[in-house]
Amino acid sequence: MYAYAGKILHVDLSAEKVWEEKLSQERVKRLLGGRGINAAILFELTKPGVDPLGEDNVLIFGTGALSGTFAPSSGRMTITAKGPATNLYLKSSVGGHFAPELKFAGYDYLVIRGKARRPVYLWIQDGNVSIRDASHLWGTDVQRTEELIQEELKEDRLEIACIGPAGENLVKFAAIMIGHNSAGRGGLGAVLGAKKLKAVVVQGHKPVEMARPDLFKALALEALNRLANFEGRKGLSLYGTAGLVPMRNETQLFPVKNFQEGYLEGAYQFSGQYLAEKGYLKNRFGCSACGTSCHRFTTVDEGKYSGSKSGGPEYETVAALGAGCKVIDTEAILKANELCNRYGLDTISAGSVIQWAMECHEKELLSAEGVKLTWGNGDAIVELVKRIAFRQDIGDLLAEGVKRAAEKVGHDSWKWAVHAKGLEPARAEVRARKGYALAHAVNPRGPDHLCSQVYAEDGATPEARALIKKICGSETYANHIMTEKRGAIVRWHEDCYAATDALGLCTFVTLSRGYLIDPKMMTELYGHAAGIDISEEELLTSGHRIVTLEKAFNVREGAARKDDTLAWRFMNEPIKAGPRRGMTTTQKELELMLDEYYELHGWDHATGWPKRETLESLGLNDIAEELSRLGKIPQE
Amino acid sequence: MGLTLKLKYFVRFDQLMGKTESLEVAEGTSVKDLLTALAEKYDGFSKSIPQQQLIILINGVFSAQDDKVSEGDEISILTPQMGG
Repeated sequence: MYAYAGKILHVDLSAEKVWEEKLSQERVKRLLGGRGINAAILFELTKPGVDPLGEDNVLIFGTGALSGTFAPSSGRMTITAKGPATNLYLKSSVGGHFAPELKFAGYDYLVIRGKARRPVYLWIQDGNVSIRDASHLWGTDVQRTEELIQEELKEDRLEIACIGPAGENLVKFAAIMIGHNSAGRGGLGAVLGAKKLKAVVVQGHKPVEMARPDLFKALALEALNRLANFEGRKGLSLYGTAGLVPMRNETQLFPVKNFQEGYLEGAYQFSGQYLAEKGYLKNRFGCSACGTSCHRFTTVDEGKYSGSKSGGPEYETVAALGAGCKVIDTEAILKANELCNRYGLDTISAGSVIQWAMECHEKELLSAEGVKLTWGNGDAIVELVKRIAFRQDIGDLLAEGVKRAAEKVGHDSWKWAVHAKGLEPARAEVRARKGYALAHAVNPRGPDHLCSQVYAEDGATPEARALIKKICGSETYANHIMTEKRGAIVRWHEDCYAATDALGLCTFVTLSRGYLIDPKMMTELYGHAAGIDISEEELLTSGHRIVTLEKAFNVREGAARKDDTLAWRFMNEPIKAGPRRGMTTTQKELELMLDEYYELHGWDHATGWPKRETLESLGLNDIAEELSRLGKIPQE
Repeated sequence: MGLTLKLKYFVRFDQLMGKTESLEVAEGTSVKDLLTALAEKYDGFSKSIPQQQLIILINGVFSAQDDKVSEGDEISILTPQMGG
């Protein structure tokens, strides 16, 4: 089997057993890899209503079909489970080098079930697998855990995925950390914590075989050249994702003060440009087979946060911990980022829940001993990150995320608990970006930016405008305040995102503004690597199949049309200033966009459930049968 | 009669990154004209990035190269940026 290792590694922590399974060719044909096959395994191995933090939840590490090759930016991996934040489907895509290493060790997938009796870690080395005691690691932070494992295994080159105290303490937005990379969203770290699995450590040496290596090499070089000549890639390389801060702030669509304002004076002080200019940026590094090196390593060398050093910060981090809390204290933001990474917390949800707490404090509903929960207080974000990770006093409340915290605090605090499906959104202003609003509403894991970010609707680059013309028939629709054709735009993007994840590519090179490695090139790279030739249409149909499968999981777990929604604030409180003043995405607008989107999917308008004929046309007959058994197939 | 604009630079050109300035231009000036004027004013500006790849916001709204500027407009000049 070219490109793939050809095997799945199963681990049952309760039974302390490991075994291998041959990778199904049929699944490869229908779902490609990574995110796609993960979704199928999750659906198959979990029962309806499974507790995300229970023994029966299953967590899957899935490598992309191209992971381990030198296709540009192909080091991505998807981790999938039922999610603690939403009680629904959860996938998180993560970069770094873990995915290639797992494949070099002989496995495309790692499937973990059960719950260990004591803390353990998993050691996978070229097909040899052991479950080892981790009692001595329990309670240590991410960096210390990595150091102790390196010392213990006496190996130079290891890939380590682990949790920090936040995961152990079942924080609903605990992350799985892999070096400076994070599978951050939705609480996968808590799933590992509940299983008492502190870390997964991998080392491998087996080569990935290529079907047509010479053709693959030529095409990969062509792809690299295409990337090298794009200005947007240069910006990403120089300034990282936090280089987006000026753009978002200048459009006055920057999520400031818990989405109450759209512009922040002084935001430049936490931009990627400023971090580079002022010397906070010490190093740039990339994921496997990536020449862009968008990841950052930053330090604070003076002042009260001197000594702070960490990967990042990313755009989402500075937007959530900085702008959202009205904090422009660069060094406090860097310190809070470091602590999130050290304790294993998702920075988006951490920032979200802190700004919710600040708004509660402003309205005299919440206070914290020894901390002033005031807008702009940099020390408060640093202190609250610590308290959340260890569930200390107010941190225990905030560790539940804004939805559950608002249910406990009561009054009107739910109105500024900005979330949908229980997940705090990525930092995008969706009142004036209608496609983005729809994408957030329908995303199976909740409102997030890495399932269907629709930058093309901005029409900011020639490539984006050309794509909108391809999807909608006219560049006229490259306008982010239009509701027309948003269903079509989101549908195309989510199919392409799913295919990108399944191949293990980075969405920054396939979708983000430049649309550089397009579906045609994706199929060719895949064909030369795996020896499986598919058309562009077949690639996107695989993406569609993956999205439908994820939707079906949510339907099985009780989701319906009412769950495809936005935070109350976005639909009821207009933008207060700037060129988009007065805009909301109203319930009526959302309903219209949902109708178009469901129609294009072949999903029932009333329930939002996939129709039987849709599932069967995608070859998901077994899923149709299961949903039918549960009474969750729409009546014709 | 001239127009006074507020220019905000977020371009990969060390001399200007993060800077703000006022600039007088003639009535009827387009975005394209403005960029040409900046290329004449700042040596190396046009070499830092191809003009057609710059993203220009007029009062926070994406603009096209032939859009005209008006008195008091705030013009943000940015380079494209992948990522999110």
